[in-house]
Amino acid sequence: MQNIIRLLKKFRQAKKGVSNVIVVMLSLILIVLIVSNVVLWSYQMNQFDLERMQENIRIANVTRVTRSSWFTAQNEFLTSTGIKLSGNYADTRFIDDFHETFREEIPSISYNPSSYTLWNSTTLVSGSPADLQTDDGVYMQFRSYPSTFSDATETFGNTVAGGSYRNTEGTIVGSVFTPTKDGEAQSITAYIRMTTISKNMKCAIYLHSDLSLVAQTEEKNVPTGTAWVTFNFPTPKPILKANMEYLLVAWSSSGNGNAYLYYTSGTSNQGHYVNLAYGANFPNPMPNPTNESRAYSIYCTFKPATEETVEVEFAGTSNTEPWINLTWTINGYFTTDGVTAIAQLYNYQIGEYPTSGDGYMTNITNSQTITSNPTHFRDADGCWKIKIRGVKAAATQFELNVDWIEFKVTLSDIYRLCITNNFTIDPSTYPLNYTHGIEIFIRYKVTEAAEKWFLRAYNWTELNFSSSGFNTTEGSQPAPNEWNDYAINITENWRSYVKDDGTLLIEFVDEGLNTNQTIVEIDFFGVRAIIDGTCFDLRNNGPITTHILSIWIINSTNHQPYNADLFINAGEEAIYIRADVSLPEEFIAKVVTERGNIAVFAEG
Amino acid sequence: MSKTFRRFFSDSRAITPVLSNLLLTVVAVGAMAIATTATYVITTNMREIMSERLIIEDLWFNNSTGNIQVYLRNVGKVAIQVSAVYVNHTSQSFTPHPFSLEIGKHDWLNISYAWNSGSLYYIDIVTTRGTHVAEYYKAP
Repeated sequence: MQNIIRLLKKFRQAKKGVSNVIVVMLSLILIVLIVSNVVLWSYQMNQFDLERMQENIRIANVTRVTRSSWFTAQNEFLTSTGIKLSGNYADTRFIDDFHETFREEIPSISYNPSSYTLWNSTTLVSGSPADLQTDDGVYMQFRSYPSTFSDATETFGNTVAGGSYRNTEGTIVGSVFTPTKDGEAQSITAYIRMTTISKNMKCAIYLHSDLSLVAQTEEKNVPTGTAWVTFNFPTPKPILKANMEYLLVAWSSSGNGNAYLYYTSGTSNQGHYVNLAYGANFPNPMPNPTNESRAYSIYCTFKPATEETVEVEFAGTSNTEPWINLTWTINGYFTTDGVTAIAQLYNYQIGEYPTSGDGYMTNITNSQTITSNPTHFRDADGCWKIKIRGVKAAATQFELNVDWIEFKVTLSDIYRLCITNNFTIDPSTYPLNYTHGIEIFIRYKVTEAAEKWFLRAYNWTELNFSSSGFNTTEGSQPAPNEWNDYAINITENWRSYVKDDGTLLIEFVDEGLNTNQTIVEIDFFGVRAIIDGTCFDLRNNGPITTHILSIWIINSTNHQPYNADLFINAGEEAIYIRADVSLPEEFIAKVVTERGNIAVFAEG
Repeated sequence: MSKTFRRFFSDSRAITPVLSNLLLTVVAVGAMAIATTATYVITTNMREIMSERLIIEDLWFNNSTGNIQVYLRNVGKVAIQVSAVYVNHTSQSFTPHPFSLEIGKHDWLNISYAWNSGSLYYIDIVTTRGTHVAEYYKAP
């Protein structure tokens, strides 16, 4: 231990050479920094040079091109007339054994309701006419109302004469009660003690949920004494809904003495009262009342419903052209069984809803085709309306759910097919500034050769399909049951058919002469740009990916560089088309890579 | 209090070692700063020299102008500036002057030289860091 301590003290006192060691260490650090920096950068640049030596790009061929590659459908075709039978749009991208098949159909136009009208006391529960456009399980829902009532009466409320009372002078007083049946309220009866002098009184029904006034009774001058007093509702009498909470109240004018309303013990917050000077009409809604646990001796006499009805009228518009026939379809249901349903299409010729035959159905999941005078079911402006009515002998409400209503008109008896789709020429590869026109090509087969077929493009300026500027507008006369090629060029005014993003909307349509139904198969459908460009056939023979930054076209009078941005994987070939590069008669082409290598191609 | 101050200032013991240590520290720090700066300058310069890469993408004996046009591309990792252009080992004027290219940039450099058709020319382009890009070209 002593030896160790001695050695440590000796080491601590030995200061000779420490400065030298520090200087040497710092110098070494600096040298290491310099060397490592140099070595690191030398390594990086050596790697760069090695990659550059390994890069091997070759131009196999350079040719003039007058057409871009084909641009085909990227989404399914829309059929404004006709239907798709099989295949899909992807089958029209290549000339091969796969094709998409369509069939001509009688042309028709479908319309849906744009508005609705609630008849009598039918109420809308949810939904809008937009929910009726498709058969998708999204409904418009309507609730029935009591439409017929029993001759016998029933009551709801408190029919027990209470022992305690509250003064109703300048105070609206009552309690909440719930009927178990739909019905028509006839009167309100209250157990009243009038003292000193007679006073004017009246009663009312409020909807408890929002304190809105349902109806008020006649006003009566109630004489002094204690008795059940009945106040009748004027006509039209209010309709009450089963299982809804109603507030039955009484209200008295002020005068000598009191106008007491008796009560028994009630449930929590059953009783309501609010101080308000007596007036000609009950307030609507009732001002915020005070609650209490009292069942006032007041009840409503009503006639229970014996029949519930739901009745809705839907309206829409159509065209005013001649129609071959008309098919109207309804898809809906009632939330209860035993409902007698009637669906009617308004006949403008006779000026009423039919009660049988055309325009009359007894099922709301049904359709009907009208071939005799279908235009009688629209007015001069093309307006039409459909009424749905459901009736059931019941005392409780039910709902009508309507999923889909369609008013479909057939315009002619000629089978037609019209399909459209968007085709987009990539403007980044084929700038529209260097495009000289558009070519459209379709390869198709038909089962009937009785009519010609036409290609049309949507003119974005005139907002219609047109063939103006096409090299031919005569259409294609196909041979039946064999593949037919039909191509058109647009070199005049072609820019009206191409949006700035390179999109064309193309229509393929029949001539409209054939009364036989034709099946059409499409093997290929595409568009391409007419250009005066250059196609570079490039091959990367090296083991690393190459990035081409520049291409050159050189002749005796000009050396023209073009910027490029093309990656070619190791060992792969690439066809690189430039619409903005025009080839002279004799030329030398070069491509320059990011690493600085140059490949040269000399014509001839 | 004043007595304490007087005694402190009249006490000259240990001043010399303190001053000498302080001076040594300043000298050491200064020396290290100079050494570090020199290291940075040296390594930066070497790194830039190593990182310079320049290619002649195209050379055009332009009939219409009578000049030689060289299209240069900077494929290195530092910006470059052309300091001299030699045609057959003779310095020639060029435009634009100065001619600089940032990393990845490319442009034409015009050499004012009356070339003759069919003649062979050794064209050497030198950067400010001393990099040479040279090649023989035959005039068309």
